[in-house]
Amino acid sequence: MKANLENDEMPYFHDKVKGNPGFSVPEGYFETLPDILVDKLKGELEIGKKQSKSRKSIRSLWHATSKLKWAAAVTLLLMGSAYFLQKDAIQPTSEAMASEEEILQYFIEDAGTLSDEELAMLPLDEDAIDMEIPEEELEDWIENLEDTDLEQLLN
Amino acid sequence: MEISDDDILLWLKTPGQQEKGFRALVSKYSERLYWHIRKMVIEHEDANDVLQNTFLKTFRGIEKYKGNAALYTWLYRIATNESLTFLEKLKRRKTVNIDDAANTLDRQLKSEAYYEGDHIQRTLQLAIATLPDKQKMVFNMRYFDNMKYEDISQILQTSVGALKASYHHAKNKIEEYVRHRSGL
Repeated sequence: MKANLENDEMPYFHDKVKGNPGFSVPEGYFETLPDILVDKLKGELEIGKKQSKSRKSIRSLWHATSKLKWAAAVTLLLMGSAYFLQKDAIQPTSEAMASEEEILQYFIEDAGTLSDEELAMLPLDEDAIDMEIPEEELEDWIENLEDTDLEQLLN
Repeated sequence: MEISDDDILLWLKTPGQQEKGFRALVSKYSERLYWHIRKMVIEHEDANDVLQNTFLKTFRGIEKYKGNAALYTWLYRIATNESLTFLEKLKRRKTVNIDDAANTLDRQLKSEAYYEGDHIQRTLQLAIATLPDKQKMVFNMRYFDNMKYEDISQILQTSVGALKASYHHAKNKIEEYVRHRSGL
C-alpha cells in the first residue's frame, strides 16, 4: 500500500495542494442545506400527492363515463325493441302524435322535475351547448373532484 | 455521536420518520459528496444543483438500496453519475474542445466567487481540466480524497487494475501539462 501511495505522489505539488483544490463555499452552506432539501422534498411530495389524486380522479371519471355509455346503449336497445314490438299493435293517427316541438316544450316546462333518463332523451341541439370548457377549469374541477362525489353521481 | 447508517436507513423507510432520516442523511454526507461533485463541476452553483439532485434521487430510490454496498458507496455512485450526466449536458450545450478546456476553466475560476486557490492550486486545476471526465474522477478521488483503489473500484464499478492505469495516465498528463506550461 505504501509503495502505491509513493507511486501516486506528484513531486510538483506540495502538501497544501494535496486534499485541497482551493474551492470554498458560501458561509453556512452545509448548515442550511438540510432545511432547503427538506422543503424541496415536501414540495415534491405535495405535487406528487396532487398528481396522484388527479390521476385517480381521471381514472374514476373514465370508469364513470364508461358505465354511463353502457347504460345509454342498453337503454337505447330496450327502447328500440319496445318500439318495434308495439309498432304493429298501436297505430296512432298523425293527430294523436305529438310534434317534436310539443315534446320539447313539455320537457322544457318540466325540466326541473326531469329524471336523468328523461334528460338524456332530450333532442341534442349541439349549437346550444358550449363544448369548449377552458382546460384550466377542467383541471380545477378534476383536482377538486372527490372519488366519493363520483360514487354518489353513479348511485 | 454520529448517527449510524442503519438508523438512517430505518428512518428513511419508516412512514412518519422519513423527514428525520432524510435530514440525518443530508447532515452526514452532504459535505463529503459536495466536495466530490465540486471538483468535477467546478462552480458552486452547479455543485449545489447536482448535490441536491443526488439527495432527492437517493430519497426517491431508497427502496432500491439492498445493502450490498456501504451506504456511502451507493451515494457516491449516484453523485458520480449525476456529475457525469451534468458534464455531458454541459458539453452538448457548449461544445468545449478538450484543448480549450484549460482556458475555459481559467476563465471560469477567475469569475467563480468561491474559488480561493493560489497559483499552484490553480495550475493543478487547469491540468486536471485537460483530462477526460472519467480519468478526472479517478484522479480526484485518489489524489485529493486519498481513497483506496478498492473503494473507488466499488463506486465506479471498474477493476482496481484499470483504475491504477487510469490514475497513472492522468498523473503523466498532468505532469506533462505542468512542465510544458510552467517550465518547472
